[in-house]
Amino acid sequence: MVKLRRRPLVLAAFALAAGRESVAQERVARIGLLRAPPQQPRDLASLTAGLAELGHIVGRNLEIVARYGDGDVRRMPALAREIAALSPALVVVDGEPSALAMSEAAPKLPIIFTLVGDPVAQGYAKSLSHPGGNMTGLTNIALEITGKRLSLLLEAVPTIRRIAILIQPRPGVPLLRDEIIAAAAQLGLAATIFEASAPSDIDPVFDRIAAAAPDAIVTINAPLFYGERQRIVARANALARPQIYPEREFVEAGGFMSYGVDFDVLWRRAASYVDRILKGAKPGDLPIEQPVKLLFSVNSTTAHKLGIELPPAILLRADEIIE
Amino acid sequence: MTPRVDDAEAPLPAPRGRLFRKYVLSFVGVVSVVLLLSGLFDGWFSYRETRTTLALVQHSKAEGAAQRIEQFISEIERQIGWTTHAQWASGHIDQRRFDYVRLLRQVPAITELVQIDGQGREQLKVSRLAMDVVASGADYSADPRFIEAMQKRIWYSPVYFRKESEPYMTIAIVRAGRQAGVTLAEVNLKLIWDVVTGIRLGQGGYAYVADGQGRLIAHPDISLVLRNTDLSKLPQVLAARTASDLRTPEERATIVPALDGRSVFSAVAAIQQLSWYVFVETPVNEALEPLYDTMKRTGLLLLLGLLVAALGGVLFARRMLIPVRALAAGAERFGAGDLAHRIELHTGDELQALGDEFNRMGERLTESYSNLERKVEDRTREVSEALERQTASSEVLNVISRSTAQVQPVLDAIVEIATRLCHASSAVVLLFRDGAFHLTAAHGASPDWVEWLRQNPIPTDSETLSARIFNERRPVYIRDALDDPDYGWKENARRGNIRSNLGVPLMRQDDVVGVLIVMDPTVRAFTDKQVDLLESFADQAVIAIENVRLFDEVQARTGELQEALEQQTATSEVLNVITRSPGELAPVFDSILENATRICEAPFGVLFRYRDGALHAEAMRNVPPSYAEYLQTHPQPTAEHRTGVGRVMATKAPVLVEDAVADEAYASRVPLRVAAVELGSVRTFLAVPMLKEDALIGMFVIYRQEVRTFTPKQIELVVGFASQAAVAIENVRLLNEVQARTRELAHSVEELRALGEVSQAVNSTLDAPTVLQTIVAKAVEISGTTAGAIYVFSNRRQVFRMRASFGAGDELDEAMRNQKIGLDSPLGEAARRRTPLQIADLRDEAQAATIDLLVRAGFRALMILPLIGPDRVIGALVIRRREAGVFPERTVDLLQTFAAQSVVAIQNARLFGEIEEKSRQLELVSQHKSQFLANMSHELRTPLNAVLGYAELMADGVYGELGGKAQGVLGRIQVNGKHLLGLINDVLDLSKIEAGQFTIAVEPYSVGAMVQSVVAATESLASTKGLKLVPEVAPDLPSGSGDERRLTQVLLNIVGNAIKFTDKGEIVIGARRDGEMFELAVRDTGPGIAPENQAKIFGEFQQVDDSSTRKKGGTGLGLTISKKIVEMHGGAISVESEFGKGSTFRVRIPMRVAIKETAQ
Repeated sequence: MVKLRRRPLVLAAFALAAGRESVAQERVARIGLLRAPPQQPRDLASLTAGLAELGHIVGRNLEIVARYGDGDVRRMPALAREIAALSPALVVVDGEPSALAMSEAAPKLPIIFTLVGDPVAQGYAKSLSHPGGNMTGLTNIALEITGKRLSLLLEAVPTIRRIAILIQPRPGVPLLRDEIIAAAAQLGLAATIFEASAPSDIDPVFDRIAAAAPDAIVTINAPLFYGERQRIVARANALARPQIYPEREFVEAGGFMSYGVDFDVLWRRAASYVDRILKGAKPGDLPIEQPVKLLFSVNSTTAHKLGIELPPAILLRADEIIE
Repeated sequence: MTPRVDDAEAPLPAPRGRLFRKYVLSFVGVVSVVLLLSGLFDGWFSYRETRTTLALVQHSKAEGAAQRIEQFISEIERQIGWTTHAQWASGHIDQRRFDYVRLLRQVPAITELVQIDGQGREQLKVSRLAMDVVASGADYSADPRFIEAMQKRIWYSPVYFRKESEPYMTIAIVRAGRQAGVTLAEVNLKLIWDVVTGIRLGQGGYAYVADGQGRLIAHPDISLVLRNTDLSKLPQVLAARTASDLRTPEERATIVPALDGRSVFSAVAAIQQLSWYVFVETPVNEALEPLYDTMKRTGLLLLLGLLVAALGGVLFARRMLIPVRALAAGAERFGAGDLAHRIELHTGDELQALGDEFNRMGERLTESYSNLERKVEDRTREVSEALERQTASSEVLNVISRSTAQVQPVLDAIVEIATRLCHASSAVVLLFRDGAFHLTAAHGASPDWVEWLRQNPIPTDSETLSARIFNERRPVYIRDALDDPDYGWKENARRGNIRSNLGVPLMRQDDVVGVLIVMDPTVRAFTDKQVDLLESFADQAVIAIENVRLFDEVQARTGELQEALEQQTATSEVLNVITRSPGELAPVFDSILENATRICEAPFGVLFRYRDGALHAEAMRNVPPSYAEYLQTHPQPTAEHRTGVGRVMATKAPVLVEDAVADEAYASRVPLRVAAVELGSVRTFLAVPMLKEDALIGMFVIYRQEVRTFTPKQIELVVGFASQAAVAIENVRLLNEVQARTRELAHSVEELRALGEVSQAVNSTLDAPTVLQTIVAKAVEISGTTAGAIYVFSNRRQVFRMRASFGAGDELDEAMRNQKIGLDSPLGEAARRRTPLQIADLRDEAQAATIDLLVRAGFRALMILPLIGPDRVIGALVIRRREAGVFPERTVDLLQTFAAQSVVAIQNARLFGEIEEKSRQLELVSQHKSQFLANMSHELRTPLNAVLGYAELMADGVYGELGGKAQGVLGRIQVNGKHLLGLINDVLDLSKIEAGQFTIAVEPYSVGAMVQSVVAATESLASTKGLKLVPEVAPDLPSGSGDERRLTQVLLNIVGNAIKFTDKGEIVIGARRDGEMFELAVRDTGPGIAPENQAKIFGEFQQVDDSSTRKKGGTGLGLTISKKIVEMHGGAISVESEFGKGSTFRVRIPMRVAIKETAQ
């Protein structure tokens, strides 16, 4: 008799639990993603994988509204406004153009950046340990390792004297430009700056670089270049000059060398910020992380094509040698 | 309220229900206590066990983590190790760099490697972030990383935070060999994170690492690390840092608050090498999960136990209750008196025994009831006897208390009661008086016998019961009076029909005062109780007798006291009258006479006062009119010694005449006595003197018209009255004197006060009109008159004119003010005589115009008080009154004093007025002077500058060459012009100083430079006179602060003076430091300054003597200005000089002048 009476109770408890589950399913957090280059499936995969590890699964309890500038940073403000209009809980951005546009479009929204060279110098945060405002995230320490990049290139090809520097004008660039010119001077290199703002500028710029005939080409971190890495690597290789890039993706695409942060790690780490802010943390309380590991990638095939014999120290130093 | 016991058919009385409840409750209680205790023990041990286990687990986890971190560090060390062998440093740079790069590859935590040689110079730096550097030679020799490593071979730096965020540590390792140097590795401690996150403990357990300072190095939540969290305040961190040795495993896991405030079990392990601590923490809630389970189990068990106990308790209680109820019912029946009831119980236990006990008790009770009844009867009898006696006793006491003044009723009652209580036929009381016993009370005896006994007191030496009692002082019993050989009064006994008799003594202290005897016509015995009873009656009789005696005594005393009280009252009445009427004698005398005659029972009395050698009757009471008239008309001279009054006057002692007719005075027909006897019918009288210090001041006589002497007490009383009268007379005299003195004093004080006020008012101002007005107002006030005026005498015109008036009215004032009064007036006369002058009635003098005015204004009298200064007549003070008559002498005196004071005040006011006027004039002059000087100097300087300028131009040949003579003249113009300019500048400075416009500008200056510039300026002048100028400046003088230009001016002035007045020798300019002051001394070998002139030279326009001034030139202002400047710097200038030998001017100024000062 007792058993009979209990049964409906158990069923009710199950129903309740199920109901709770369905309620949880319905509650979907909306976050924004604003990037300057065209959509990068691999980066997005790293981010979503990181989020999934923390229980935020796209399509179940998470919605990502993403906007891409396709390399043209002038489009960022409009895209930022679009995201702001959807009032997400927070926005993940990449570098300075997106961060700046987003913070102007929604000054109070939490913003997580991933690729800012020096957030303190940019004024996004009071300090790395206590950002204080509504922005936090990861730094790619682009500024700090700019000199290192040049010196690695020089170590690989000690005959280099004149270099062409490829730059996309955008917020944050002035700092980088100063840094690289200073580093070049320190290493005794003559540097010429070449600027490209939109995909349509790439070819003309390379025409000019060809005309200038430098000993090597140095590409600075930029959304435009990251999006157009295939074309840039192709044009650079066509000039038969050694190059160095900020990200290993360029080397994968056939570029000579790269030195910089590991994007996979970076985007995965960004997920932890999303998680914590969704759980109520204030962006100002979350310290900005510096990369633990910098990747040095070398493409041995390209080296061979360029006729460059890599010194043992470079080979030793390289984290990966792509063929 | 009756509890229902299960299915009880009938409601039970409350106490029975309680037993049931008690059983059940105690049963449940015992069970639950046992269960609870077991639960608590279980819980406690389980808790201990859980804690111990947890501590061990956590501690071992912590130890493991510590080991892993140590391994992490030693792996880095080992890797670096290969770059530290002796030959490595001397290898090729490429090789070394290669090795470093390889190190970076192998150890991801190393961010940077630096090779430092033995001298601390950087040889190689390889970094992940920065460009590699070869042989930069950067100096590390003072760097702690180098120094510490050189000392310790291997050194771990304190944790530091790169960009204030990432935790880093430097490992510095000395390379082998001589002069080998150090390898530095910067290690990113973020990589320890892997180690820390690797530690998992249950659901919520975690580990973290803190360094020696308590900063967080590694934590699963990396952001805490990056935030550079300070843990040093956490108790577990504090404990780890302070306690070096942790004793038991349990103590290693303590309950503490975690960083987020939750309570956690925290275990710690130290990494000795680095002084770091690894903490492993589990939330307390989670850790104590098993314990909570145990507690839940115990709770359930407790509940079950309670249920079982309650059930058992109910069963047991019901079983116990049946016999108990049987017992209760039995007890109830016993209680209701049914002692024959027997309780039937066969339980075979203590309850059955209890039932048997009840039954036995019932039997015993039945037995003892019969005994008890008998005893009660006996007691009742005894009690009633006692009660009878008690009643008798109290009856006697009642009688005693009712008749305090009589013994007889008491004795009557006693014999009656004694007869009754002793069951005797009769009883008597005999009282001892005059050596025999007298019958006082009797009861039951025949009247004849009683009468006989009353007539025949029983002597103490007779052979009677009474005598026997008297001798033996104790109760005596005679069994048979007729058969007793020692009993002598057998006949009497027979007559009284007495056989047995018993007597007790009435004892007062040790005396037998009587006997109480009971008698019976049969031969019988008396019980001890009856003897006791008689004794107590005897005692009561004695008490009654004593009471009556005391009562009589009290009555007697009361009578005496009343008499004394009456006399006392009389005396105090008299005293009252004296105090009531301090100034009057008549009521006092009346009162004394009244009291004296009343107390002494005398019909009348007279009080005489001694005055002018005779006695005068001052007060009389009830004296027959003719005698009274005689006394009033005939004062008694002192010469008569025969009468009582005369004798009193002679002896100054009271005299009592017992019979006025019987003594010599009447016989000799002395008039007073004759008058007394014949007019007053006097027979006995008492005369008492009133004395004041042995002098007779009066007399007191009271008379009786019968021959009856006065008792000594009465005489004493009258003497007392007499001395009171004397006191009253003296009092009145003293009082009158005191009052007179007081009145005088009060008047004087009043006058003094008025004068004081007046002079204060008069002197409170120095304004002459106010002074005059105040004087006249006050004069009117203190003299109590209506109006007054002050006239001032003009020496020049020889007339008086009114200057101040009070109380006269405006119209009269106006008229009076215009009057010029000459010396031939009453005013003039008073002034001439220098004394006050009064006009008692103005109408007598009305022919003078002024006086006519006054008369018409309604004034009738006036007084003139001349105001006379030390050397001349100042004027006069006049007061006026609307009543005619002479002013009282006192007013005249007072006003004279006041007039004298007024003179002083008027003179003061006049002098002050003059002084004020003078000062005003002086101030104006001084202002004019300064203004003039300032203006003039300015006005003079401008043209003079032009003159000098043109002279300069001319001398320079701008206007063509000048001839030799013209050149000379021009030179003289320039010299004199410059002198004049200097003079004007000095005057200007001085006038600025005096006008307070002279300021100093404080700025830094050098004393040396100042002396140098002065020397430079004066050197040519000195050399033209052939004088040597010697600067003596002490080395290393600090720079001072002050007005350099002005100070230079001072020094220039002094040196200039020295050169000017010195004809040969040298001038030494010294400068030195003395404490916080500079001292500048200018010593010359000039003529010197005489001591009397030394103070003067600093005054304005002063030079030592006129001849030398003329010779030397100069304004005489230089030193004055110098002095002011030095003083404005807070310094002083002084001179020491010996006449003929030279002078030294000394200037002392503070090194630092703090503020700008303005010359005063």
